Amino acid sequence: MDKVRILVVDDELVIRESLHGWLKKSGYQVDTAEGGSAALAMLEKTAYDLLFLDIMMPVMSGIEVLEVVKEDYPQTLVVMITAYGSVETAVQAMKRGANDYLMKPFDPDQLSLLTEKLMQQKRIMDENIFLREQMAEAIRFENLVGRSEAMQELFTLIQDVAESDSPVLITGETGTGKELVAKAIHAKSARCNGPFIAINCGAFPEHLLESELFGHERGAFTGAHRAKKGRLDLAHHGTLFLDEVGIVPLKMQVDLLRVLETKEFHRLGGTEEIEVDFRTIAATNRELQQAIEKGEFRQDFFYRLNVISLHIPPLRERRDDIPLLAEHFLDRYSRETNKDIDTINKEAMGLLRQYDWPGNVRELENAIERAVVIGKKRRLDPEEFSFLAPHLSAAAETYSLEKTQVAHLFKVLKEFDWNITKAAQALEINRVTLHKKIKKYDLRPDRASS
Amino acid sequence: MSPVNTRVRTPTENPDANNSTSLPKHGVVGVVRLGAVGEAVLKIVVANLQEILNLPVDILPARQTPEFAYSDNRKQYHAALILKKLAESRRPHPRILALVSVDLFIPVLTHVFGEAQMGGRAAVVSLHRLKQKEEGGGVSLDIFYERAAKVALHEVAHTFDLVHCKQPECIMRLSSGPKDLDELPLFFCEYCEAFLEEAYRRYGIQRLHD
Repeated sequence: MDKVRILVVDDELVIRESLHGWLKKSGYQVDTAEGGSAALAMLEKTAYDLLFLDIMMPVMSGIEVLEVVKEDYPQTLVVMITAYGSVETAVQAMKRGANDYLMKPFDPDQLSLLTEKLMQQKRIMDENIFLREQMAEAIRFENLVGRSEAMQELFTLIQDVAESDSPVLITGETGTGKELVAKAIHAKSARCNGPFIAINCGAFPEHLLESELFGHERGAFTGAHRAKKGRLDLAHHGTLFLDEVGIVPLKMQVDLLRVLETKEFHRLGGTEEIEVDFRTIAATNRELQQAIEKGEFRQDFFYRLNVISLHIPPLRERRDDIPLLAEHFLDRYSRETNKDIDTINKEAMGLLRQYDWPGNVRELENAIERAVVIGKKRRLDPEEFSFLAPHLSAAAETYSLEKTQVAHLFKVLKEFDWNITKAAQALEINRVTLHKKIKKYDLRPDRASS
Repeated sequence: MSPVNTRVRTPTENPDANNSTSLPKHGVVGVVRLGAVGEAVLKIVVANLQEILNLPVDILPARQTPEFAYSDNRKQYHAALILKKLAESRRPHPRILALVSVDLFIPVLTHVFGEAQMGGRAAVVSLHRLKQKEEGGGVSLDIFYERAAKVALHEVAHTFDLVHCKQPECIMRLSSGPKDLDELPLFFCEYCEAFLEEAYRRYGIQRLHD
C-alpha cells in the first residue's frame, strides 16, 4: 500500500492543525480543508484513503459532504467528527455510510486504534479490488469484455470454434467488435503462432481490393513497378479475416470462392499457382440472406463462409455490459493519457446506460476517450458526456408515472415562469397541491427535470 | 529495561571547562523544566537522551509553569502553545525539550503524554499521567522515570522527522496508553536508528560519539 492519504475537514483551524499534526507523526500524508466545498474540490483531484469529517460545519454540513463522498468516492473511508456528541447525529451519519465516528476531543488511544482499524479495512478493500480485477479476467476474453449472458455464451462459443479449423462468419452491427472476436478465435486456435491478416473489403475500390487480396506481379497493371504479395499469401499458416465481406463485388466472390475451396490462387499478372493454408473468418453487418435474394451476394460463397456463424448482439441489447465496458475503457484511457481519473459518477453511468449506442462498443469507447481527454477532475460527471445529450431524449423516454409527472410539472412551471397561481390553473389543481408537489419533487428553476 | 544513569551536564557546569572531553559550546538538545518538575526525573531524562540519541544534552535554567497555555474550558495546558513559545527560545540549542508536570492537551485529543514539532525545534513532555497506573493508583518511581525517558526520547525523535514505527520493538511505536508505554523498549529499532542517523546528517548535527 502506498503512503496513506488522509483529508481532515473541519471549519475550526485548531482542530485541523492538531489532527493534522497528530496524524503526520504517524507517517500519514495529511491535507486539510476548512469546508465541504473545499474538501470536494480536493477529492476531485486526489484519491484520499480516509476522511475525518466534521458534522457541524457552516454552508455545507458534514452529512451533505458524506453523501457526495459515498456516492462518488466509495473507496474513501469516512470518520465523522463532532463536538456535539449526540448519538442521534452519529447514528444518522453511520446510516448514511460513515465508517465510524468520534466525538471531540478524542481519546488518543481511541483515535490511534480507530485509525489502525480503518487502515486495516482499507487494505482489505484494496485487496478486494485487486481480486475483483482478477475475477474480471473471467469476464474478459482476450480483449472482449462482457458479463451479460449473451457475451458469456459468445465466449464459450469462441472457445469451441477456435478448436476447429472451419470458416467462421461473424455477424453484428458496426462497432460491436467483430474484429476482436476474430482475433480472439485466432489467438485461441492452433494457428495462433501464425499471422492474423485482416482486410477491410469495404475500404478498397474493386481493382485495388483484388490486388490487395491476390497480390500482383511486376507490370501486371499500370503502376505495378514491383511484384507484391497479397493478403492471401501473407495469411499462410495463419488466419485471414475478411471484414465487411458483404460488399465484396460478385466477380471477386467467384475468385475468392475458388481460393477457399482449392487453397490455390495466382497473383494478378502471374501464372504460377500459389498454394496457401489459412483459416477464413469473415464478418459483416449486412443481412446476407437478403443480399442473396437481391442477387448481390452468391449463395455458394455464403455457404462456404458460413460454416460456423457467430452473432454479436448490439450494445443496446446488453446494457448490463455498459458499466463494465465503460470502466474498462476509462482504465485504459486514463492510463494512456496519464490522467488520474478513476470513477464515473452514478448519474453519468445512468446516462451511458440510457443511450442507445448506434455505433455500439466503438462509439462507447470513443465517448469515454473523449470524456477522459476533456475531464478535469478525478471523476467523470454527466457534463463530460454532454455531447450525448442531444441523442438522449428518445432513449430516455420513460414509462414511469412519477417521472412523467415531474417532467410535466417542470414544463408547465417553466412555461408560466414559475408563477404558481397560473401554473396551478393550467394544471387544474389548487395552489396548495402544486406547492406540495414542488416540495416533494424538489422542483427548482435552476434544476432541470430528469 | 532500566533507564540509563550516566553522567549528565547540569546548569552549574561550564561547558567551556570541559574541553578535555571535547564537548561543543552547547548541546544539541536543551532540556528545560517548566514548573514543579523534580531534579531526579530531569537528570534521568537528560541522561537517557544523551546516551540513546548520542547527542550532547544541556540542562537549561528552570522556568515557571506555562500559565499562558492554560485553557479554562479544558482545565489543561495547550501543548501546541507551549511548543510555539519553546520554538521562539533564544537559546542556541537546535532542539528544546520542556518537561512539565501539568496535564497537556491538543484541541482534538483529550490529553497527550507529549507533543513535538515534526522536523521542528520544540518538544514537550507531561509527567502528569506518567505517575498513574492505568487502572488507578500510582506507579513506582522506577516505572515513572522510565516512562518519562521513553516519552522524551519519542518526542525528541519526532523533531528529527521520525514518524511512528510499526516495529514492535521500537521506542517510536505509537503507544495507546501507559500500559503500552511500559511495554515499549528504551531503544530505537534498526530502521529508526538509520533514519535518525540520516536526519543528523541532514541537519548537520554532530553526534556525541562516532
